[in-house]
Amino acid sequence: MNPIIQYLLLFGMLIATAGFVWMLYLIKQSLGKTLDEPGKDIPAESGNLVPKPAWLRYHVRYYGYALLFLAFDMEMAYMYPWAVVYQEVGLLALLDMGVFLMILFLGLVYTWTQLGLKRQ
Amino acid sequence: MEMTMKYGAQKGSMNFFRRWLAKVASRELCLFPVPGPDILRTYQTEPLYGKARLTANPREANVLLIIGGMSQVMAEQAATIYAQMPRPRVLVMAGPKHLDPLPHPDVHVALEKDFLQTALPAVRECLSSLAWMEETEPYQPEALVNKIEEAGKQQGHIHDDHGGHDHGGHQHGGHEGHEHHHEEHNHSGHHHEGHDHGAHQHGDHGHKGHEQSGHQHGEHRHGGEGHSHSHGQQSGEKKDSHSGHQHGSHSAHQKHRHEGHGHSGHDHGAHHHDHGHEQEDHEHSGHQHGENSHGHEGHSYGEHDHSQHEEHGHSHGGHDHGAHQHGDHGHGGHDHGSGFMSMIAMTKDLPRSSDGLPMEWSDVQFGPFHPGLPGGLRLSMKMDGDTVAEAEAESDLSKPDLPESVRENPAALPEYLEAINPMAPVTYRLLAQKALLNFSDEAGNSALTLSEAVLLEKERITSHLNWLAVFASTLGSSWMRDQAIKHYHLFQNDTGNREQLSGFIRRIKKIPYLKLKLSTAVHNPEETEEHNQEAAGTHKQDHQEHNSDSHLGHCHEKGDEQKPNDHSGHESHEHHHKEHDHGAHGHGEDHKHHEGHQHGDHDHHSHEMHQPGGHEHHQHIHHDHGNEDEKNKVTDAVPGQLPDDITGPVARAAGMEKDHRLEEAVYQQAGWTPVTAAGNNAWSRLMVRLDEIEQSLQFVEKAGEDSGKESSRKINIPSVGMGNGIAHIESPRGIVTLKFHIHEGKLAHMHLTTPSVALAGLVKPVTEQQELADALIAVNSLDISPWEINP
Repeated sequence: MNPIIQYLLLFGMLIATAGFVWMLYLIKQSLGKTLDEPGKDIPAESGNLVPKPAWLRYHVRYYGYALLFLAFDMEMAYMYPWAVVYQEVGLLALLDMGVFLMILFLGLVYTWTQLGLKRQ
Repeated sequence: MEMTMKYGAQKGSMNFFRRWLAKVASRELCLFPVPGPDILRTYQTEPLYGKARLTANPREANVLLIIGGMSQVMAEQAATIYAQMPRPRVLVMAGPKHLDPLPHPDVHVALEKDFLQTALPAVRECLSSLAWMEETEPYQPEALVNKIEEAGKQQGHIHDDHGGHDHGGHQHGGHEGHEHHHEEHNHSGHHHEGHDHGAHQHGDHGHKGHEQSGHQHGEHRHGGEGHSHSHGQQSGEKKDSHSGHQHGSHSAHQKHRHEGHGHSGHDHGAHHHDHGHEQEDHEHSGHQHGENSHGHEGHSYGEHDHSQHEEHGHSHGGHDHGAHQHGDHGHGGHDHGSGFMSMIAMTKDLPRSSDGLPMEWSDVQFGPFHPGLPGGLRLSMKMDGDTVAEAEAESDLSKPDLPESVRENPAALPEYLEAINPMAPVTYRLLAQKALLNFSDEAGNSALTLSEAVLLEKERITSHLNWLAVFASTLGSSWMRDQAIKHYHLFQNDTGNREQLSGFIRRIKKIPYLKLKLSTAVHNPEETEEHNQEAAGTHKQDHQEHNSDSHLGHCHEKGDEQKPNDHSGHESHEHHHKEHDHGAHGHGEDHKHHEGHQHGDHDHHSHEMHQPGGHEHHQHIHHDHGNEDEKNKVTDAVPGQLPDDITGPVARAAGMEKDHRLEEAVYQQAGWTPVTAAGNNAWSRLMVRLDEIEQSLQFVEKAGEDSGKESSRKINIPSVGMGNGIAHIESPRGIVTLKFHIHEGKLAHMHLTTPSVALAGLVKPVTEQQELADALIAVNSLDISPWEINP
């Protein structure tokens, strides 16, 4: 396709998009003026106004899992380069990674026995 | 009279396009029912079938539907909902003609069965012809505006506080020659978090020559006006540590607990701090008074316990407190702004979570219009993260005073009680009739007749189904909710199909993982302990080892096939086998839940050791079939950890055989026995209610033709003399008791005891330390009727 035509298409799309937005704006205008009311912009829960912002340091009870996730996420990061060379290295790679995974897995088992997987 | 749609229409005049839009929009009705959809259902004979949609979100609704009267508090909450709805919006009131601060209703209908039939066409008319009006006005009632301002203020305030130690504007101004013997207070750990010292005013100090055992403020002169400790007036916030502070005669210094700065108890005499705080725990854990050699003369640290003061953090280094002249008060060494990142100081006043971590808690309100709770029930919770630290159930539905007409004519009592309890009208009417019979009948015979019992059982079916619909919403199962609603309406119209309902119940029982999800044991450890001790005393049976998990759920079909790893959810069982409560079991012969119990081969070895604080303290309540003696012990059994005033399905789900129907001849003749379950959790309550539905279906079917006719017994109330009337009835929620005293044909006083009051008291123990979702399910499983707990 001629590059000029491609640009024409692009501009056409841009204009169509702008037109669409303008249409939406027109429809909104045709619905009349919005009244300014105090009750509209406030957060409320079941008819009760929220007295304070939820800007608190609250207890994250799943922090145990979050930490564990980090450990296993790091493990995944190691597995990418390993996967790349896996075919070349072959069985040895599998064993190497197996040892690594086993150590991590033992950690998981230990956490389990220490009730670390329970919700805190 | 206000114009229709005065606050509901959009601003502008109608034109062709707008008329067309309005017409289209009027087909899509989205109702926000107040107090809730469960109440709306009691006034409908069939589901909405697409005529309108129900929503729990005001931003989505275009119709606010007020059902019946309510208190001022709740009307204000409804006004907030109305204010949040997008225009065009219609306000429909069924019953009341006006509720301040809500505007005048656009559509008003009488509160009667199927009022939506008349209301909905009128709503459509409003929406299609009055969607745009020039005369419309912003809706800003005073009550709402005030509330918003208040909330805004609080918000600003808290933002300040959280900005850290806002000592910026600390003004000790005018303190000339002022000898600040604050070195004693050693502002190191000084927990000023939340304090706003900005406005601080220590007017009028006359601090001369104060001497007191602890502090010796020698020449401490707070010379005057302007010194100030204003503590940010955030009253109620526990963080403040200056409370009580009175720098006057300084004689109260003995009380100072200076762990962590504590002006508490300072007595600055005339100096009025007006803190408005009510804190007691001023702790100064950051202080180090030890090596403080500020060259104070006459200071004596006598009472102060400086031993714990560590963590200076604060630098008093440069202070020469001896001669410390706070002239213009640069507060040189006092650096309140930085170097305060001591965790001990920052967290010292915060509430402690169950695991000891100090964290901030938030106050959350669920209800009165929450879709997962009975309409009108308000749950105020303190949340510790996603865990409930404390919860309380309240209701703002208004209960009208006993009208004069009922006082004059006690025969109108049944109608009155029926009207004020829309969740169980038949039960309350029967209750009042029974009580009147008890009063008028010479023999005091007020037993239920068979047809009355049938009415009662029919209401039990519909009440449980209505509860199930709300419960299913909380669970998030729209299938269960819609089915429950469908059956609710069918049975309400007496057209229900027993087989279909039984099929539905069977399917609920088979929902995978539902049992596991609902079997979160809810316990109050201390209370359990107490009861257990008693239990251990009374029951001397051999306690076999029990798989606690299998007992939670009560459905003991076919030999408890629990595998060891079924316990994964309950890793910290405290297995005191003495705790097993063998008492309150239902030994009804037709108790199908007991089939196939195998108590012998429970495998306990898989239980992990109990971890202190794990508080998953399973109360085992199990049925021992072999033991005949136990039957006789049922009455004096110690019932789990439930208080004695709990009745109804909740009590029966904890294995307590409490049911007033046991004392009614009609039921005795039918060989009726109550359904019980062991577990005392949401699952066992669900099971008990489902089984009760089936039992009631059976009962109604057995009664055959004699079904559901009103009693024709005449009640005459003598116009002379006096007497008492009393009646008990087993409502769908538990035993209701009505007592009254009639004096010369007039009702002198009346006392109604409802089961929901006791159930509302259970809210705290069943939600404590539960995750929010589990807590909501637990509250819902109690089936508290807000109409029974309103003040």
